Amino acid sequence: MTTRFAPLPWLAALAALVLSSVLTLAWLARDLGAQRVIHTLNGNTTAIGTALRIQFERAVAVGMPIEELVGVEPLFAEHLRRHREVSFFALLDAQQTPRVFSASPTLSAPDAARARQHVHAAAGAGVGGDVGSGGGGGGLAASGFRTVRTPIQAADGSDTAGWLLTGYPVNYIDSQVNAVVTDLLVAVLIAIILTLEMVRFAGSWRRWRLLFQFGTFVRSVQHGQLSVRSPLTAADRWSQLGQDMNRRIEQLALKLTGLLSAAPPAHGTDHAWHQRLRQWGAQHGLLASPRPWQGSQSVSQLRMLVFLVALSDELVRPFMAVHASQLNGPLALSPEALAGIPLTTFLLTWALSQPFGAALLRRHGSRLCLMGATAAVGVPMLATAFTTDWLALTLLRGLTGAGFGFVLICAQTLMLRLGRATGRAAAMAEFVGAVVAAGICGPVIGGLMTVKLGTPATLVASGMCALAALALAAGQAAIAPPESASQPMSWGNLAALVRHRRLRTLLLCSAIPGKLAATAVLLLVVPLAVADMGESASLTGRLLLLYFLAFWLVARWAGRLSDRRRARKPFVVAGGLVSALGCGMGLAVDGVWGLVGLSFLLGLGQAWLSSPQIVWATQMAEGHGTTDGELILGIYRLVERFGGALGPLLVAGLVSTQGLKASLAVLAAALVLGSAMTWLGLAEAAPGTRADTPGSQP
Amino acid sequence: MTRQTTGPQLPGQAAWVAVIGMGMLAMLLFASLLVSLRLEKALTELLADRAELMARQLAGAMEGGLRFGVPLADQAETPRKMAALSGLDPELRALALFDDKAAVVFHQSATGNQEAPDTRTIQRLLRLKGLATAEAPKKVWTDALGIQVLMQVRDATGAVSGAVWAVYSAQAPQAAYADSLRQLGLWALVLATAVTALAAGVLGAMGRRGLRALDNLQHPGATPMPPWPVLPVPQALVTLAQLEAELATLGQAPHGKDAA
Repeated sequence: MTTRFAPLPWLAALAALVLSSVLTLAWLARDLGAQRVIHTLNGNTTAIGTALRIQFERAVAVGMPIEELVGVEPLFAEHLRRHREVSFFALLDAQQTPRVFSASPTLSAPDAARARQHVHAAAGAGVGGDVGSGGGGGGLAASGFRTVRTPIQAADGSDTAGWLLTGYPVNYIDSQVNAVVTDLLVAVLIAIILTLEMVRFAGSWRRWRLLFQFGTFVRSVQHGQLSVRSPLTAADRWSQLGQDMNRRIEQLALKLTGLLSAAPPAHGTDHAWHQRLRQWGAQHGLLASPRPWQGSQSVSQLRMLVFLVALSDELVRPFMAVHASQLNGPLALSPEALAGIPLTTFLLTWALSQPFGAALLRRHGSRLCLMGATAAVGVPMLATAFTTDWLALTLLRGLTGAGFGFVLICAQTLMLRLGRATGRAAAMAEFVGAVVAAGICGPVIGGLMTVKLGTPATLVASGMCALAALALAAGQAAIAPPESASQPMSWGNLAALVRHRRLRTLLLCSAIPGKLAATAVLLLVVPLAVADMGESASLTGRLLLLYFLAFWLVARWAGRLSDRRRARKPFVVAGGLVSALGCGMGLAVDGVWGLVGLSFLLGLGQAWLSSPQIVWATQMAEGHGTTDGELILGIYRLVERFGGALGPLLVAGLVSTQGLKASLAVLAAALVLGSAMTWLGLAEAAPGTRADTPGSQP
Repeated sequence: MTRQTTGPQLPGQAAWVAVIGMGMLAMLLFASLLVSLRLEKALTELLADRAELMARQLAGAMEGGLRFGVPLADQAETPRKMAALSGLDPELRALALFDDKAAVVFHQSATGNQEAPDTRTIQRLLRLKGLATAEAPKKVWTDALGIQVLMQVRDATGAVSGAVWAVYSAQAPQAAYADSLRQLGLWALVLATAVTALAAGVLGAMGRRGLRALDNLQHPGATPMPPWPVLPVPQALVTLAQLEAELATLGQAPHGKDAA
């Protein structure tokens, strides 16, 4: 009898522990913060009440009775708009009768009614019924509000002409705690992602690597996949178990080879039997040579390198524009220009570096290229921490952009090389996953570091991340180019690529619309829609996080599935359609849920098509014979990047003339049309004939 | 049979305990940091709001004088108004009035120091153009000096005449942050330690079961059990045996001839 391990109860227990820990922290935070926040809130309300009191006393001084004052409501409305922490104002005459009451527009109707009742109760209770302008206890807090009561002196100063009540919510701290809970969930997500990244990297360390590989081997055998062998070679009992399993698998492979060694008959039952055996062998991975472990180790190391470099960029993203606008730049330039020019320089040098990655890799080898490129990110980033001159910052951002571009294009190229053994789309998904994981964690961590440690310290941390990647590159084994990758970079090759009809179709119908939709939605549509709804920018951040989360969750899985099915086209087309569905949901559903659907489905769609699309493009180039897949990758990324840069510009024009909904409709239509044209215009070679088949030689 | 603890068994358990422990600790410390920052932010925003109120009051008073043609430097009542505003709120650290060249006209400080923002920052604010009817452009920020608000002062025509500056100490929010982080950090350590100890206990028990399972696997007839949560060795062995049986069946050539 076999006792199966059921992970669900363990995962549920772990989730419960995490959730209860988070809620405990939120509860502790509430207790810790309540007193301080209420004290400061009381100080604010007193100051606001005093400012208004001075204005009322000026009117009373010229002989205007409190009950005959005009323009009080607009005055209250203006202060309620400016001071969001205040819930209401009430003006009482000398007999404590409420004359004017104004509630904050942020209060719901029932809350506003309760506030009005509170004012009447406070008026009836007199001076001792609530908090005075000098502070003190409040007996009416049960209604959910506290009030600061400010006396308005009569002209001669002998008597009180009236009273001003300024109310604030008792549960102000609770609204902050609600935001804290959301922050905590983000913290959980980031901690999970960081831990998983570390675990994946740990899988490449010698001692743990064997453990991870043995685990992969056992799970593969459990699922009937016999294309890997146990890596354990020591004399311990686990190694003996692994070797015993290896021996049994080899015997199976030998027996199968023996059965298939006889020439297959052309017809009849023997032919069918032969075919069935061959199919069975292919299904269980017994026909090809065992998959080497070296590839997966290098992929893990390369993934960590990409993660560190992408993290280095993402750490500075939240503040770089503001930092640039505050440096000593030419006074003739506006703050917007001071912020925008370094960013544009960074993006431009990044884009322009893309076509040169393959040539550099061939000339200098993977190790030297990665070391040079990571140094080109880390050193300028460290220098940026110490510069106070805007022009120097712009130059350094340009250098960092070039280095960043080189690291990314080199890493993608190397992933494709490694993917020849383990599956190219899966390897590309590792690359994309690392970039997206850094995109989720980096801005939050960078923002926190800037707030607590300052901009220079965050820039130093960012530079250190890139230098850690440099150390990783220095310790990595060289990854050799495939034999077919022998063509040098030349304008003739570029022209041949531009003339490549199928590649052009893929670029125009799938890559550019997808990139255009993603950048336009993330940079323009979601922020504008959130602003239109009157919500804060933090909601935009959470919606964007949803896009990246969907991408991170699905990209790896989609890449592996694409490799296993040996198919690219269905993934590319389906990804485009899911993205279009996201745009459609943003169009059809109003409010936050529409944007939730838009962000999540767009992330899902892009994750679905991302890796298969790039692998398909390189396969097309290799099949064409004019050049190899490594060169095409650079050109492809360059064109795609410019396509992405056009997105916000085009959609900005559309939004200004037609509105947000029409822009989403256009994006959805472009994605559907592109997917349809990809489906109809591009044929995919039959499965099993591609060079990327896992286990096959390049 | 002597039990050996070599091979992937111990590193495997240590790996999972380390992953769970480090993950929990990282998450809870990160959560503590976020919570403390949220508290600091809430307090900072409240003080920034108060600073803006003070700056607006002073700017309003200055603009009243400008409407009657009295330049900023000649408004003799200004020091008294600034002192009155400071008296209203003892937490206000400093108030200042700058002219259109970013030079200090009047300064009122609780500490007596002539602290002021960077001249270039004032110049940038003074260069901003706004509609005469709209609110005056302002800049709200926090740095080592404190929680600051800088706001334009404009005359009746909407021309920029100067700027007012109000600053509150950031000490209270920072103290709240430090206190909160210290206390929550301690709680995070306690919670993470408890979870890690629990994970270590569970994995240790599973490891012992795993060694027993390995004994059973190498001595047929015993009941196999899962070694530890990440390795389905018994299931893999069952699959392997099934595949061997399948090939033996498939290997029977058509018409009963054994092709092997």
